[in-house]
Amino acid sequence: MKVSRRDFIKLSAATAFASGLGLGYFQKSRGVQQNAGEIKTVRSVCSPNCTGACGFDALVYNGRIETLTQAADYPEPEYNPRGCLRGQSMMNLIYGPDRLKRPLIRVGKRGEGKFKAVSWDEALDYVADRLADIMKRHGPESVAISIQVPGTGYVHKGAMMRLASMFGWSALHGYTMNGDLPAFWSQTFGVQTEEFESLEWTNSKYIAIFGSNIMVTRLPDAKFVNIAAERGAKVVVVDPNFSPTAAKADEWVQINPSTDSAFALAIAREIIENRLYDEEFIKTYTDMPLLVRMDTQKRLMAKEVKELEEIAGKLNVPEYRDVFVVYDVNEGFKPVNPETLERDFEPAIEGEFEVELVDGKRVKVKPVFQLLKEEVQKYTPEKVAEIITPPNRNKGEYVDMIKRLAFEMATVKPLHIIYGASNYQWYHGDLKGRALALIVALTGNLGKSGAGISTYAGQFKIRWPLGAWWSFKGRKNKWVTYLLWMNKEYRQSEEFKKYNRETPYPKNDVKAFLFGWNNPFDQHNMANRMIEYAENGDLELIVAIDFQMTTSCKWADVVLPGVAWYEKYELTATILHPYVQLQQPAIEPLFECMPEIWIFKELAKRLVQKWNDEELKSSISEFYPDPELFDEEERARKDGTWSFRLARNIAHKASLKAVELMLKTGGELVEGITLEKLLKGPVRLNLPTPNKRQIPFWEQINLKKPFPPQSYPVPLQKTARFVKSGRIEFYKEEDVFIDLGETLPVHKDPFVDTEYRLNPEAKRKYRYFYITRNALYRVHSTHSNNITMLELQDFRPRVWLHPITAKENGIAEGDLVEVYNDRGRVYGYAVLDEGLHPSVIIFEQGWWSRYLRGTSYNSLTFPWIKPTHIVYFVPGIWEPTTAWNEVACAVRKVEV
Amino acid sequence: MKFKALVAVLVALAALGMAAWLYQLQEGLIVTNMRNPFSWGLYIAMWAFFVGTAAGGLVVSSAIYIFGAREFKPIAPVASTTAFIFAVGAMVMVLPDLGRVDRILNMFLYPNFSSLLPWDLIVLSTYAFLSAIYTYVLLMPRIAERGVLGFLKKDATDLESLRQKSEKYAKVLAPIALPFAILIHTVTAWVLATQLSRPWWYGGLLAPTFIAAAIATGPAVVILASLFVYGYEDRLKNAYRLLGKISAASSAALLFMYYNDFLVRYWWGEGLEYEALAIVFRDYLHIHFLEVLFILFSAIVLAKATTRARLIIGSVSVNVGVLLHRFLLMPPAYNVFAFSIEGWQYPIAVGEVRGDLFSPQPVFVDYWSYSPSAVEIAVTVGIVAVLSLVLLTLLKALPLKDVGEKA
Amino acid sequence: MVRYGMVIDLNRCIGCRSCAVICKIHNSLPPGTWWHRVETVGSKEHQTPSGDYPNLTELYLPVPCMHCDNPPCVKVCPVGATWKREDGVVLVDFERCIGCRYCMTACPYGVRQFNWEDKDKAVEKGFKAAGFEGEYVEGYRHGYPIDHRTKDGRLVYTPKRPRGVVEKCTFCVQYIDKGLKPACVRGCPGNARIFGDLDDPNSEISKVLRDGAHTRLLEDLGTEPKVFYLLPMKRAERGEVRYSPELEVKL
Ligand SMILES: Nc1nc2c(c(=O)[nH]1)N[C@H]1C(S)=C(S)[C@@H](COP(=O)(O)OP(=O)(O)OC[C@H]3O[C@@H](n4cnc5c(=O)[nH]c(N)nc54)[C@H](O)[C@@H]3O)O[C@H]1N2
Ligand SMILES: Nc1nc2c(c(=O)[nH]1)N[C@H]1C(S)=C(S)[C@@H](COP(=O)(O)OP(=O)(O)OC[C@H]3O[C@@H](n4cnc5c(=O)[nH]c(N)nc54)[C@H](O)[C@@H]3O)O[C@H]1N2
Ligand code: SF4
Ligand code: SF4
Ligand code: SF4
Ligand code: SF4
Ligand code: SF4
Ligand SMILES: [Mo]
Repeated sequence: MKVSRRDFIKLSAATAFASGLGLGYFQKSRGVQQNAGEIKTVRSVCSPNCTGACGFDALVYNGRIETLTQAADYPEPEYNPRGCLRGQSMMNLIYGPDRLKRPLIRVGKRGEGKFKAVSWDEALDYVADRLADIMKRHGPESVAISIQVPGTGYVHKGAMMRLASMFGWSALHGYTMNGDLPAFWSQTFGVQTEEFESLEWTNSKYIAIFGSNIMVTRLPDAKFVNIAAERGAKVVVVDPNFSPTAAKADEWVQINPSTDSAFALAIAREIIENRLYDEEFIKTYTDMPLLVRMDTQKRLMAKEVKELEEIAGKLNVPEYRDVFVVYDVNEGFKPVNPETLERDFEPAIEGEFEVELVDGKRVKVKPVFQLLKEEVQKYTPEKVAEIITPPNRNKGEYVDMIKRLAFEMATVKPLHIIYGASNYQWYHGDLKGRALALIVALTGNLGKSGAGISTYAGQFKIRWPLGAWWSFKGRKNKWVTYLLWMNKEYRQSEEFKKYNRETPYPKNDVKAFLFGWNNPFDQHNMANRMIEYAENGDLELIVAIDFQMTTSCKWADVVLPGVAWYEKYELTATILHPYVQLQQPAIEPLFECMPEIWIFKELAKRLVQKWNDEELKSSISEFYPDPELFDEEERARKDGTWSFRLARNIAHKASLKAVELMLKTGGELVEGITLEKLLKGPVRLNLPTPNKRQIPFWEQINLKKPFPPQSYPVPLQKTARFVKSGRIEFYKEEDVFIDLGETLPVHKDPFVDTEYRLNPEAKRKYRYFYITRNALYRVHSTHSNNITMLELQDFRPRVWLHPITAKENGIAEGDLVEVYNDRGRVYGYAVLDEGLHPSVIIFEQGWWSRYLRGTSYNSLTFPWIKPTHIVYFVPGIWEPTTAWNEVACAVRKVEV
Repeated sequence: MKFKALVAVLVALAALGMAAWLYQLQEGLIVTNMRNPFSWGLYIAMWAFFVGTAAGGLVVSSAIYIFGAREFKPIAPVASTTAFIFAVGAMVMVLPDLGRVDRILNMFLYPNFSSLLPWDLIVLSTYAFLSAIYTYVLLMPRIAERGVLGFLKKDATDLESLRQKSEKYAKVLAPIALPFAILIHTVTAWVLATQLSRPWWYGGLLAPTFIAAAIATGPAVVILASLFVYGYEDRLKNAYRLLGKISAASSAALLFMYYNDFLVRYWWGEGLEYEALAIVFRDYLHIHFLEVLFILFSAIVLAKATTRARLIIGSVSVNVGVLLHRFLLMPPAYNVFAFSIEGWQYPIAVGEVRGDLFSPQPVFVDYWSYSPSAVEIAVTVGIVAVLSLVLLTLLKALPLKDVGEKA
Repeated sequence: MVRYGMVIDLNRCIGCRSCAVICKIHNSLPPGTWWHRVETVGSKEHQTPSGDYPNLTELYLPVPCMHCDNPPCVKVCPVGATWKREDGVVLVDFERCIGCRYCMTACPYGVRQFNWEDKDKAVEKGFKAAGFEGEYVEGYRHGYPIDHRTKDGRLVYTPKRPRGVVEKCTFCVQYIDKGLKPACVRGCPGNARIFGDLDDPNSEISKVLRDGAHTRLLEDLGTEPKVFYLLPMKRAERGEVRYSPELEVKL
C-alpha cells in the first residue's frame, strides 16, 4: 500500500493546503506496544466490597496490566469462571484519570477538592501530629476508623485494626454501617450471619427469594439459580419490583414495599393451620416447645418452677445459658438442657398449662408454639392480602396465591429462602427476617444440603480467629456504633437511655475519622450528617486512604494513596464460596502509592513517638509480623538506601508473613492451608461438613450441638447469650421486645415508627418509597468512574419510576428529575418501568457526587435506630444497623 | 463579467471544499455526522445524484440515433460533455467517503466481483470514457473546421467526409453507450437495492426509480448547459421543449413509482417496510414535502417549457427535487434495518462518546438523526464547484458551436 | 477442517454484559466502540422489562458478529478486505480495508464498527466527554498487546487501531489461533456461552445443538449465522456446567 500512500501525498501536495493540513492523516497512533515485550500472567483476586472475591489472571506486558480474565481455577468446575464486567475492567480504575499519585494535604476549604501534593514523610508526620493532639485532648477513642468488609483483605485491613488496637481507637463496624447486618440472625439463631455457598443452591428444589437481586448483586453466583431451575427447582421471587432476578424466576410475586413479614406470617399460618409443619424438627431444634409465662411474658425458667427447682439447681450450665421448661406429655413439666439438642422429652406444643412457682404462685404458661399459633391467626390470607396487594391488583388472586405458595413451600423440599439485604435494610427488617426464618424452621428446612435461609449482603463474617494479626500484642479492638455517631438526637433520647444496656459511645464524640476501603461521604453520609460534621468542625481530622480520588477523598484533610488488588499481597476469605485465596502483585504500585500495611506501620511508628506508652515504644518493630523486616527498612532509611521499591518489597514480605501468621494461628478451619498452597491457587476451608460444603447449622442439626455456632472473632459466650435456650428462638423476652409487642415475629407497616413519627406531615408530602438498590455497573461507589461502565449506562444516573408515578408527576421518559424530601435530594434521568411498584422510586446508589450535580442519594436517608438493636452490644453482630430504604420521598421534573 | 464572477465564486468554493476535505483527511470521518448506525450520508447521496445527472448524454444521443429526434443534434455534444463530467463526478464523489482513500488502488489490485462496487466503477468509468469519445466524435468536424492552434485545419471536402464519419461513428457509439447509460443507474441502484438488511432499498423497484430520476435530471442538466452555451435560440426551442417533456414525463414516472412503493409499504401497515416509510412521514416530512413539491412543480413547468425562464426554473427545480430525493435514500435505510424485533430496533454503538458531564449522550442508539455536517457540506459544495468549473471550462473551450455562430 | 461456531444459551444468560466488557477490554476498543452488545429485547433500558403487568419479560440478547456462513459483508466488500477464513471465521484485514463502509450497510446485525478517528483521540475525547479531567495514565491502553496475523500474513488484530477502517468481532482470532477460547466465552459468569467446532460431531457445541431447540438471528435472510441461540425455556436434561478455557480442537 506504500504506492498509493505516496501517490496520495503527491496528490495532496498539489493543492495549496497540503502543508498545513492533511498530514495528520499519516500520523501513527501513539504506540503503547511494540511486539517486543514479554507477556506474563499473575493470578490475583478481585475484591471490592461486593465480596465476590473472584480469582483473576492479570496479563502483564511491559509492566502494565493489559487484560484481566477470570482465573477459573476453582477445583469445582461449577465455580468457573467467577467474575464480572467490573472485575474485567478494573484497569480503568488502576490506570484511570482519578488514580491517586502522591500523598495530598488539603489547602482549600473542606470538600472543595484543593490539595497540595506532599512527600510521604510530610503527610505521615502531619497526620501523626494531628492525631496525637486529638488523642491527648479528647481521648484515643475519639479517633474512629473504618475498614469495611474484612474478608476481602485480612492483611491490610488487619494492619489498620492492629494500629487502632495499639492506641485504643474506635472502629466503626462496616456491617452495621452498611446496614448489611440482618438483625434477625442474632435474635433467632444467635449468630452473626449464615449462608450457603452458592454451589449449594443447586441442591434446592424450591428457592424463594425475598427482595434479593441475585442476578445483579451476586453476579458470579447467579448462574446457580438458573442451574437449580434447570434441575427442576422452582424459583419464586417476592419483590415489589420486577428485577432481572424476577425475570429468571418461575414466579414473581409483587407485594407492597416492606410487607414481607405479613406475607411470611400468612404462609406460616397456612402451614400451621394445615399441620404441614415438621413437628419433629420444631420440637427438637426450636424454642417452640418452651413455655412462656402469661403474667410476665417471660419464658418460664426451670429454677422458677417449684417442682423443678431442685433439678435445675443441679444442672450445670454456663452463665450464658438458661434452663427453660417444656410440658412433657408423659412426665409433665420438664427442664430443657440448653447444652444439647438431643431431645429427652416429648413436649406438648399446644395448649395452656398452669404451673406452680417456687414462691407458690400459680401462673398460666403456654408453649411458644401455642403463642405463635395464636399470633399468626391474625395473618389470614384475606387480611394479609389487604396488606401486601399492590394498588389496582386483585386481592382475591393474592389470597389464592398465598395459600398456594404456602402449600408449595411447606411440601417441596429442600427449600432455600434468600433474604435480600435491600429487604432487611428497613426499620423493621429484623421482623421480616424472623418471620422468614419461621418458614424454614416450621418446615424443617435447615442444616441440610439445599435447605435453609441465607442472606447475601456484603459478607462480614470473619472465617477464623485473626487476633494474632488484627490486634497488637493482644490489645483489644474497641468498637463504636456508626449510627450513634450519625444520630446524635438518638444518643440523647429517652428511648436510648431506657433500653441501652451495653452500646458504648466515645465520651467526647468522634473527632478524627480515618477510613480505608470505603467512600463514606457518598455511601454513608446519611441526611448529610458527615458533611455537616466536616463543615462545622466537629470532625477535627479526616484522613482517607484509597487508590483513587473519591468524593470522600475530596472531603479529607489528608489523602494517603493506597493500592489496588493487583499491586500487593493480600489474603481473602469471603463467604459466597469457601475459598481462601491470595492476592498477588501483578505490577509495581503506580506512582508513589504504597501498600496499606506500610502506611499503617509508618503511622504507628510516628505515633508511638508522640504517645506516652513505653511498651509500644519498645515493641514498635513488631508492627510488622517479622521485626527484622521493620528494622531492615529503618536501616535503609539511615544509610540512605531507602527507595520506594525497597519499602514495597519489604511490605510485600511483611504481608506474606502476616498471611502465614493468620494461617498458623487460625485453628482447625485453616489447618493445613499454607502459603505454598495458596500461591498455587484457591484452597477450600476445612468446614466441618461432608465435602467441606458450606451448609449453615450442619453441626447443630446433624450433631445436635446447641445453637449458636461461634461467630468469629467474638467468644461464644458473647453470642450464646442471645439464644440462652441453645435453640432457634422465635420468642424474644427482653423488655424492649415486650414493650414493642415484638416478642414473636409480627408485621409492622413501614414509616409508621419512623418517617411519620418524625414528621406527621411526611405522610402527605412524601408519598413514595425511596429505594436505593445496587447497580450492575458498580460495587457501591467503586467503578462509579469506570469509563466502560459509564458507557453502558449512557453516562446517566437514573431514577426508575412506574409510568403511573411518572404521569402523576408530569414526568416523561428521559426527563431529568429530582427525588427529594426534607433532608435532601438527588438528580437522575427518568426511566419508566412497568415492573416497578407504583409507590416506589428507585435510585441506583453508588454514583459519585460528581455525577449527581453535587447532590447525594444519601442526603435523603436517615440514621434510624431501632431499640431492639441496642439490647446487646456485640459489634457487627448485635448492634444498630442502618435502614437505607426507610425513606419517604417525592419526585419532580427539573430543568437544569 | 458575470461569467468571471461566477468562476471566481466557484474557485473560492472549490478551494473551501478542498480545505474541508484536507481537514477531514487530517481528523478522520469523525468530522462528518455519519456514525456507525448511519454509515453513509451526503457523499453517497451525492454519488447517486451525480450518476443520475450524467444521464443527459444518453437521453439526447439515443433520442437522435435510436428514436430519430433530429432536433437534438445541435446540442448533442453539450449533452455528452455533461454526461462525462457527471460520470466522473460520481466517481470522485465517493472519494471523500472513503476512510482510506490512500488505499484506493486496492480497488484495482484486489477487486471483489461479487461486490457491486467494482462493477459500478467499471460501468461508470466506461460510460465516462464513452461519453468523452462520443463528444470527441461529435466535435471532430468542428475541430477540423477550426484547427487546433493552427494545425489540423481541414478543407471543405475533407470536412464533409469528416462530418459523415462523425455521423457514422456517432451512430455506432450511441447503441454501445446506451446499455452503459442504463447500467450506471441500475448498478448504482443495485449497490443499494441488493441489501436485504435495508428494507428501504431492498427490492426491484429501486433501479427503475433511479432511471426515472436520471431521465428527469439528465435532460434538465442538458437544458441548463445548452442554455449556457447557445442561449434560448429559436432553432433549439424544439429541442428544449422536447427535453423538458422527457424530464417532465420521467418526473411523473418517478413520482408514480415512488408513491406506488409507498402504497405497497403502507398497505400492510406494519413491519420494517412500513416503518421505513413511517420515518419519511414522521421525521422527514419537510424534506419529503419539498422533494415532491420541486419534482411536481418541475414536471408541470417543463411539460410546456415555452420560455427561457420556465426552462431554467423547471430544470433547476427538478434537480433540487431529485437531490432531496437522493438525500431521503439514507435516513429510512439506516434507521430501520433488519435487526428489529417487533418494532424494537437493536441499538448500535455510535463509535464515539458525545456530550459532557451534565448533558451526557448515549453510546448505543437505535436511531440516528442525520444531517450533514459543515465539513460534509463544504466538501460536497467543493466538489460540485470543481465539477461546474470543469464543465464551464469545457463548455467554453470546446468548439460546441458551428463556425459563424457568435460566441 | 474446523468450522467455528458459538452457542449462547438465552436461558442461562443473565444479561450481565460481562461478555461485552471483556470483549472491549481484550480487543482494545476505545470508548464509543463495541464489538459485542447485550440488550433487553423490546426495552429502551437494559434490564428493564418490556410488556405490561403481569406479562413482563426481560430477555437478554447478546450479539457478537454472527460469522455468517453466507456473509453479506464479505460479498459486498469491494476489495476483499473482509473475508471468510477456512475455519469459517469472518475477518477484516486492517491493512487492506479502504474504509468504504459498504459492509456496515450490508451487515444485518449492526455489529460492524468504524474507526471514525484516531484511537488515541477517541480515548482522550471519550474521557473528556464523560467529564474526566484527564485520560489513562501516560499512554496506557488496555487490550491484548500483540499484533496478530493470519497464516497468510493478513493483519487481523492490532491494539493500535488504524483509523478509517472497519472492525468487528473476530471470534478473538488472536486467542483461538492459540487454542484458547474467545474472551467472551471465558468471561461469561453465566456459563451461557459455548464455543467450538461445528463440524466435529463430538464437540460440545455440536452435542448441545443436536440436543434441542435453538435458533439463529434473522435466519430468513439466509446469512447462515454460526452463532446459535438456545431458546429461553426449561431443559431438564441440562444443568451441567460447561467451562474450559481451551479449545477442544487440536491445532
Ligand atoms: N453489582 C453489585 N453487586 C453487589 C453490590 C453492588 O454494589 N453491586 N453490593 C454488594 C453488597 S455490599 C450488598 S449489601 C448486596 C445487596 O444485595 P441486594 O439485597 O440484592 O441489593 P439490592 O439491589 O439493593 O436489592 C434487591 C431487591 O430488593 C428489593 N426490595 C427492596 N425493598 C424490599 C422489600 O421491602 N421487600 C422485598 N421483598 N424486596 C425489596 C428491591 O426491589 C430489589 O429488587 O449486594 C452485593 N453485591
Ligand atoms: N443509600 C444507600 N446507601 C448505601 C447502600 C444502599 O443500598 N443505599 N448500601 C450500603 C451498603 S450495603 C454498603 S456495603 C456500603 C458500601 O459502601 P463503601 O464501603 O463505601 O463501598 P465503596 O463505595 O465501594 O467504596 C470502597 C472504596 O474503597 C476503595 N478501595 C477498594 N479497594 C481498596 C484497596 O485495596 N485499598 C484502598 N486503600 N482502597 C480501596 C475504592 O476505591 C472505593 O473508593 O454502602 C452503603 N450505602
Ligand atoms: S466486582 Fe465482585 S463479582 Fe465482579 S469480579 Fe470483582 S469480586 Fe467478582
Ligand atoms: S456474559 Fe454471559 S450471562 Fe452475561 S450477558 Fe454475556 S452471555 Fe449473558
Ligand atoms: S454478522 Fe455481519 S459482520 Fe458478521 S459475518 Fe454476518 S454480515 Fe458479516
Ligand atoms: S469498509 Fe473495508 S471491509 Fe468494509 S466493505 Fe469497505 S473495504 Fe471492505
Ligand atoms: S468472540 Fe471475541 S471478539 Fe467476538 S464478541 Fe467475543 S470477545 Fe468479542
Ligand atoms: Mo453491603
